[in-house]
Amino acid sequence: MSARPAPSIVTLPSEPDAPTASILRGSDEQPYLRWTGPAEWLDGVREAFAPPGHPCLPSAIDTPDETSLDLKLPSPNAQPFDAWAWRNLPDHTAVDALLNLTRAIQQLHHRGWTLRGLRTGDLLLDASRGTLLIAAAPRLAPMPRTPDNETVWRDIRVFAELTYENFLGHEYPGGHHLVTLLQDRNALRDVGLTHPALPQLLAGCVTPYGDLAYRHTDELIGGLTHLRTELTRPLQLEVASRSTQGNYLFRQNNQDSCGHILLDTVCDSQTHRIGFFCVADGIGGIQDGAAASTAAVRAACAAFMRAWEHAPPRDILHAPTELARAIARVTSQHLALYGEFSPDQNRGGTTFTGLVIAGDHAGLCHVGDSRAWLLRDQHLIPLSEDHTLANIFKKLDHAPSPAERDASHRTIARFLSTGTELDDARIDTFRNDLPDLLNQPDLHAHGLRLRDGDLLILTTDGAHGELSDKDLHSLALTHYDAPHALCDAIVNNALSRVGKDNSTAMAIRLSRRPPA
Amino acid sequence: MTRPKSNTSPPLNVAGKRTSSPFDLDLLRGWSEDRDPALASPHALSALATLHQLDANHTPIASYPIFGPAILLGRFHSQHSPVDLLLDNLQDHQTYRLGSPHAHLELLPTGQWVVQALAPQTPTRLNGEPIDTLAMAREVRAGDRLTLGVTTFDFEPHDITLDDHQRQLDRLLDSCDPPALFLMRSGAPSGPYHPLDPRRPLTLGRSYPPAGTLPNSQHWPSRPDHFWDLSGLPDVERKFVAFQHARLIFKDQRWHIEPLSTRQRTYVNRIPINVPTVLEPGDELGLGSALFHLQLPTTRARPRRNITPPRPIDWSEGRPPAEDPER
Repeated sequence: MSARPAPSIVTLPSEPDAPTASILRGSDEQPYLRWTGPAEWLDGVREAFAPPGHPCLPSAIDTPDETSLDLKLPSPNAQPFDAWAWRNLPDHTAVDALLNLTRAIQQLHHRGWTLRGLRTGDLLLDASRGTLLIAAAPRLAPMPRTPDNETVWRDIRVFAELTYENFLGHEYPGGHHLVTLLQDRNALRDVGLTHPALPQLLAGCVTPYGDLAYRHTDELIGGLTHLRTELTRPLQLEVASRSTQGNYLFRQNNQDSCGHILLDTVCDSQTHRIGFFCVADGIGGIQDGAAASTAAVRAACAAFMRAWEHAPPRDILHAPTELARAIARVTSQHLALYGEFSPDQNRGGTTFTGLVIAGDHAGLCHVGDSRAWLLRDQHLIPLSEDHTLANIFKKLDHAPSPAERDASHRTIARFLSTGTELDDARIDTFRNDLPDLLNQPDLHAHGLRLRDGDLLILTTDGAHGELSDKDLHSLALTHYDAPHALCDAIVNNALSRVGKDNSTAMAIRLSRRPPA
Repeated sequence: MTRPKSNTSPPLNVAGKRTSSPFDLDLLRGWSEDRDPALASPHALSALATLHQLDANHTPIASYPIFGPAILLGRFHSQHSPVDLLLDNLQDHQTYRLGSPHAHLELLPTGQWVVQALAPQTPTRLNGEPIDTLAMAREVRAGDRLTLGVTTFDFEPHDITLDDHQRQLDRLLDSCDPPALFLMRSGAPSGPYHPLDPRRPLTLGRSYPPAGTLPNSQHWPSRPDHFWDLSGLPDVERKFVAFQHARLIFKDQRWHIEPLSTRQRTYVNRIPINVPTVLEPGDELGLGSALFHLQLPTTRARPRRNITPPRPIDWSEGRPPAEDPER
């Protein structure tokens, strides 16, 4: 360290003759912590705060002299705890911060140290990232061999104050008053302590005595997790679809099929919104195309239901794209089986574009020239790449003749066939440039992260073939919050142009309702 | 299904990219597939050479080992004959410019590798220089760049002589009691085989659900007793294998093959067949793109050393071959 005294930013409140903590500005303009106190206390700090520690704990880096110790601040933007900023933090951010803080305290306990009382003045708050840090530990002491009721309580009693202030938005009345409040249901109602899982958490932290008191940080984590679950607002899905035979003279039936399944479950307080949506455009003879697309939609929906029944929800939530691909594979095999054993009615094939929405993520499987779109921030983004001869020509830099060009848009390079099962490598997912376009690098691994206000659209070529991308964009913008009107508009457009193909559109509008 | 115990390493994916799905496909299907992992296990022989697929920046992205001294390579198309080496890790536009078959690679007794272009409508280049279709075979050396259509491969021969290869092959074929049917991959029997019993016909196919499992499937045939389930083959090999593909029958002191599927083709020595056909020792059976070698006790038969590449049909004139007075 240089001899020049480092400029101090702030000194945290402390008691007379107790160790002090202050934030200083380092030579690289980065703030760091300096704790000053007796040598034996500093020895304990060095052990308890040795790196690598929890991200909510500072880590010891340097000893400038015998009575002080420098520690690295995990978050440079953290400010001394400010009750006003804390009260205005959104509930779910605050609970996440408390969960992280609990894990930090738990780490100290596991290392054999106790804070012997944590106060709001010992904390730093980074309101922008929603994190709470421990910035002072003036009473740090070894964990007694047989901890009594109060040992853990001293470190976690501050959670009652923090939770109370954040949820109710006014000053904490003090532990004694809160205990009285908690024992009277009418008082709870009058104060407004009615949030589910909140009174239970307060009761666990407020006093070290009684059956409800938390004896271990694990119990506090349990209480906070319940509170977090109650705060989770799943995405709401509004779905509409429309499919028509069309009005072209020689189009005798509707070879398009589409289907969706929406499952809402609340099990163990966990709300799961999982949905499967697909469109299929049959090809082949008049009856064969319709039979193939129908079989594909029915088999895919059945496979989705079996996955929902058998697979752990965690797998579906974490790998929606893998589920969508698995559904496409099973569907493809289903068609091949019927093609071989019941060949009379099953000779065609079908395109297949399927979307799995699980929680906040979406997965896609895609074969053929139907399309999936995303309307986000007023931009219409195609999620899938058409498997057509025209696209192959484009990649080959081949300029097709006019006749070739016409046919190449209609010729599809991949489809689910009743003749041959499709291999895994030829079932496509999201376009390759999508992670950059949507600024989500883990898109291929975890699926597309959905946001409030997203609109997903699935169309067959009879619908998007009659519309330029620009027209579809403006239709989607016009009807962005009315999926039924959007599907009608897309299909009616094809009808008004007397399009030659069947047209199908499906729209899924996602919204997150504000907390009640 | 039996196979020699020489190879115990875990199955390798040629592309080696995609991780396995967390979803059990059997659960999603509602019926289970009997996938024998041995069918996807690595080749029992040592590779004679390797083709490394290069991307646009000349970085190797996939490799295709070659196990036979004379192979056809390209893509499978059911109207043409099966190929030994399926180049499957390609993108759609690359496959579009790949012939079926595209080229013939051969290791001569002198130790030289030669290549012959077979695809009339799509180019083959050796180190950037075009090779005429069906012209004289050209020598390929280590490090040569072979361009098939629009995909470039780096050729790497391995340090193994034809005699060594033959000894390995003999050992593998002698490890079973003939008659037996060996699975072939990349030009040579790869290890897995199924013994043949003259008293019981053997049906080749893939797992399918019992009648009544799926809607309107009451009339579906039940699974034959003596059945070689090929579901365990890698995706690219099994996709052209029908659920009931063909039956091997011993009749009048000779083995016959009877095609059962109208959708997927059966080939004998790369010629498609439609009726029960008598088999010779050492014949090569093709079930879609999967090839098999028939090992019979009568002679010390070996896989055919030379394949006569089929005469390519050039459709570019827009004229069917029947109208061509030359043919």
